[in-house]
Amino acid sequence: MMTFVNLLLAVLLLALAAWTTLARNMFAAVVGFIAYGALLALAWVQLSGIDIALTEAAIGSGLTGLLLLNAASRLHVNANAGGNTGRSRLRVPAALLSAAVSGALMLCVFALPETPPTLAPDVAANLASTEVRNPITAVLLAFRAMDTLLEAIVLLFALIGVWSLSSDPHWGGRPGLRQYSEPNGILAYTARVLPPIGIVVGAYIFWTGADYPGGKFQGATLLAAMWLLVLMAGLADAPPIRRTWLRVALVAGPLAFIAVGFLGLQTAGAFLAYPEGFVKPLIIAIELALLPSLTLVLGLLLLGAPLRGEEP
Amino acid sequence: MRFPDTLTRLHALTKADNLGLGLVVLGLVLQAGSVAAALKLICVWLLLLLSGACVSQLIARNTRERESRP
Repeated sequence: MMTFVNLLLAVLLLALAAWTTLARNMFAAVVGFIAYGALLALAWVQLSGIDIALTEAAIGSGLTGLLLLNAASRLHVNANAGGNTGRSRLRVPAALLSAAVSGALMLCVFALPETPPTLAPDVAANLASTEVRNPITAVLLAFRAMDTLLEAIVLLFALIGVWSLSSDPHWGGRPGLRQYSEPNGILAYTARVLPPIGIVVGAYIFWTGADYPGGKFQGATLLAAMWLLVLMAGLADAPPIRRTWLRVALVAGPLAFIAVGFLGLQTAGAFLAYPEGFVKPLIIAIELALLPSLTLVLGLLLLGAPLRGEEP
Repeated sequence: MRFPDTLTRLHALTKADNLGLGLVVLGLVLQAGSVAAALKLICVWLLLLLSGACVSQLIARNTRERESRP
């Protein structure tokens, strides 16, 4: 029975991938991509990668999907995915390049040794020393903390990149366009009813990350989604990016992470090493500091460059 | 074609979304190991009811506005 479900999942994934690539309408392609991400999350659940499934559903499908929807609506809703005739000369080389990359990846997968080299036993053996019970969190915040730190910083750089696209008169203003919706409409209703539930679920996913699948990225994505919902319904407005509190909040998480890293240099002898007995409190402190920063970064990334200057 | 426009397609979709998922959840509740798991399943269904109702309203309104425009 499970084999049948897995086969169906694989076929559906391939069909959706083909649909996303071949769709003539850009909007249809993006919708295909979102559905593809949701199914991919199911595939990760089947492979017992619950953490990855959560991330894929929240960031891969949800956040990226919204980003693409935004981009598609800016590039005219009904523009053909292939673009105008001037660009069709690029199509064949692009298709060949994509096929070559896919082919090379497939060859790599088939060339993998039967038992791939893995560090999983080492992680399992040393998990107790971190005092967290979710091995993914242990890897992300103890064994490979440097990667997570750089990830958080890269997101900040991405946000600066997005902001730098604004024109001079709009610099420092509010990102995105002012959203209007009927004050008693269904969107405003959803934006009032859903956030309390979403905030609880987001906080839960964040908090449970130490022991069970979950964590700050997935939690922050949910919180950011709730914030965006409120903004989209026009119930609140995005803050101007020149606000000092906003910029402090954006860098606070990564800065706290770096501070803990230097603390490790003092107390445990290595950058980002945690002193004995304080591992879990420090990991939770880092995650707690990163959560608001990540929420803001992810939300602001989706809102895009400032489009409004000095308007009130 | 059986469902010529967006509104009729939405109409057809709600059956599968609301009633279909409700029946699936009902079946799963009977198999759920604990009361907490059963309650979670019902919560998932209620949340999907809410989002389904809101999204189909939004799509329908958007369609109507687009049709009334010349």
